[in-house]
Amino acid sequence: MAVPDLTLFNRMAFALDNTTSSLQQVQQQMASGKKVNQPSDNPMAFAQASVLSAQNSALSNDTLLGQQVQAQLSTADNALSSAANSINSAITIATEASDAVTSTSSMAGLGSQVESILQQIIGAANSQYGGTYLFAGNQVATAAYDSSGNYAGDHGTNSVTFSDGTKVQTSFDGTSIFGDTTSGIIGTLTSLAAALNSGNKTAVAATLSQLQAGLSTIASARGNLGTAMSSVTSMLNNASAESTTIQTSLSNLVDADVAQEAAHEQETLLEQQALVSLGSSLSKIPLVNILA
Amino acid sequence: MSVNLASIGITGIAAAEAQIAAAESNISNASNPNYSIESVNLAASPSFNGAGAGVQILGTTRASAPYLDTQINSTQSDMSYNQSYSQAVALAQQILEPSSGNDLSAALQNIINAFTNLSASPQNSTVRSSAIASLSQFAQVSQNVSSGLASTANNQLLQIPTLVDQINQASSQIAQLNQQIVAAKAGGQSGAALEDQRDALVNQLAGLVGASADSQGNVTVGGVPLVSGTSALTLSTSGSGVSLSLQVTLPNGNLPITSNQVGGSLGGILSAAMDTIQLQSDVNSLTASVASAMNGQASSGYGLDGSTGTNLFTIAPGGTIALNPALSVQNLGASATAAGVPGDGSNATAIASLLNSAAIYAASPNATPVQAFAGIASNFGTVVQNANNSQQQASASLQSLTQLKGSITGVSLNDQLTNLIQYQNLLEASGRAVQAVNDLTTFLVQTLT
Repeated sequence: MAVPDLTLFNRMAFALDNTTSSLQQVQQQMASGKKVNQPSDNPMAFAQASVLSAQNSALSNDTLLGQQVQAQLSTADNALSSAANSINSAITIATEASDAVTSTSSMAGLGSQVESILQQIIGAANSQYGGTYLFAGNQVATAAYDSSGNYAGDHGTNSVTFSDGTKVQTSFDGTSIFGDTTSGIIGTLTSLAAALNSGNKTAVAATLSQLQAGLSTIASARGNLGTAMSSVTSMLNNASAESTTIQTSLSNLVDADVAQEAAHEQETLLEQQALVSLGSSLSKIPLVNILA
Repeated sequence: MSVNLASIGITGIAAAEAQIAAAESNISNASNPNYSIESVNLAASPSFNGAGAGVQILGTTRASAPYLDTQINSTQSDMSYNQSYSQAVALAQQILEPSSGNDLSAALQNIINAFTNLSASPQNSTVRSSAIASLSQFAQVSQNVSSGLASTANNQLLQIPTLVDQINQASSQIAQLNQQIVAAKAGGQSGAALEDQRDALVNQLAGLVGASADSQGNVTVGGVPLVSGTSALTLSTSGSGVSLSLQVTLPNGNLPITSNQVGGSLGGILSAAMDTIQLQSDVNSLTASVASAMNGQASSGYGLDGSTGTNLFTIAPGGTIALNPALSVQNLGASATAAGVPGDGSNATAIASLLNSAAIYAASPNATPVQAFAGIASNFGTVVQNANNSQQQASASLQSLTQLKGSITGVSLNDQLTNLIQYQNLLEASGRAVQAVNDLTTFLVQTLT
């Protein structure tokens, strides 16, 4: 079968077009460092990469937010720790005042100390993080207690839910931890101060069990905070590990293998040079040369 | 009975000259892609005494491959269709690429992140502003995608009138050539060059609109006549944009042509425009579903100012969304509790949770909005990928068919040069035969005088 001369050139041009197209694709991957630059490069990989990128974005956000929540919970825990120390001091005072040898004048002095402790407790209950009152329920913009121990917050609580479903309470009903002028540790300290100031040892002795109960309430609240902080820590660790996994998966899906692409580029360039060389030799028609 | 020896040699000279002329024509057209190789048909002249009467020229024959022509035109139509289609949808695809800045999945995830942060600090005006900024970004990206796709589709459709002009011009030329070919053949002339031109124009029409033709040059598109003998019908458009339609003008009225009937570049552009508009519709539908669901949740919440019922987005009838101009830091419904509870971020949590659920977009009931957006982009990527593959396949098929046809109708210079030597030898031999007759005649005349 005769091969027309035009066919030879067309075939060479077709092969050259294919090689050029292949070279452009390789060079685009080399330039961007990615083998998936657009959906049509690999539709399935593109969709997976989009979803994984979104998940990674959520994990990054979780990490920042989790660190913020950790700091917030840590502030709350420090406040409760301080409150527990204050209550222990109050227990010591109440125990001393209950002693038969303690004079009425001494009791009045101890009453002043308890009033100071009460203010420390109220100060702890009014702890803030980033301008947010932690123990005012959802009235986060208002101090939880006034200086007398009247509660100004509400009984709501707020929570944060991270992308893995971890839910952590970030604001607290102050009355359930500290009570108010008539209940809880604040009420107990108010009563204790009054009993000391009035020299009523019986009333002082009666507060001892209430002080212990207040200490237990604080300990229980700290326990809940510890659980919450552990949840956040666990979430952060998981987020870090998951983010690493996702980044590896993303890299496998969309990143170009630079070494492989460089080799492919050289191979394609060689092919292109060979075709150009062939085109050059095609212009020398053997028989024409012979007859000439 | 005498034999006219000289005339026998002269027929050989004439035959050799005709063959040399054909070979020269073939060599001259070696680089003409529309040329079909020509050859001289010879036959022995009838003799009455068995001694031979020389050779006679029956005519010049143009090599043809009608079956391959049909296949080539059909494949040319496929390739042009896929080429136009893939180029057009690739432009639409660019609008969905993250590098274009129109990453809807990322914009949606930003909302989820912003509202998760808002749930932690619902009273914080900076965080509330960030949440509104994320909504604004999502609305802006969805507008960019929607308007970008609409603009791409319209730009594609703007090419149609130019293509229609080219089609009508080619149809008109084919009709004229039909007339000239009939006239040439009626006058006993070769219509080979005219047929070459007509074949090239039919191939051009196949590429432009997916036309096919019979051996008489009658051209149809999807069964609708475009050239009938020496008459060319006019293809025209009516309407514009998405309501653009095609028809052929007949004496008794217009015959509509649907997009399914046309192939080639015109068909590819029409299909790409329709698919781009469908993509825009899908994106609008999804963004509108997301916006509507978020509006429902947000409007049930309460702002810092105690207001309720405030939507996040406005949704136009076509599905395009915009940030609600009435939305503010104060009335953003992050709280699920009645007025005066600044620390409640439960409605912000509900909004973020809503966007992680798989019940928002009815067309993808098992996908979250982020997954649905990724799915739309991925599906369109598959469309583009298939078009690219189809184009490459059609291109390779066309190359293969063209080569096959070339082996029948193309010019091989080596063959022609070999033939030329043969024809030169024939001419020389015929000349020598005439010379021999002349020598014999001279001898006889000298002997007898």
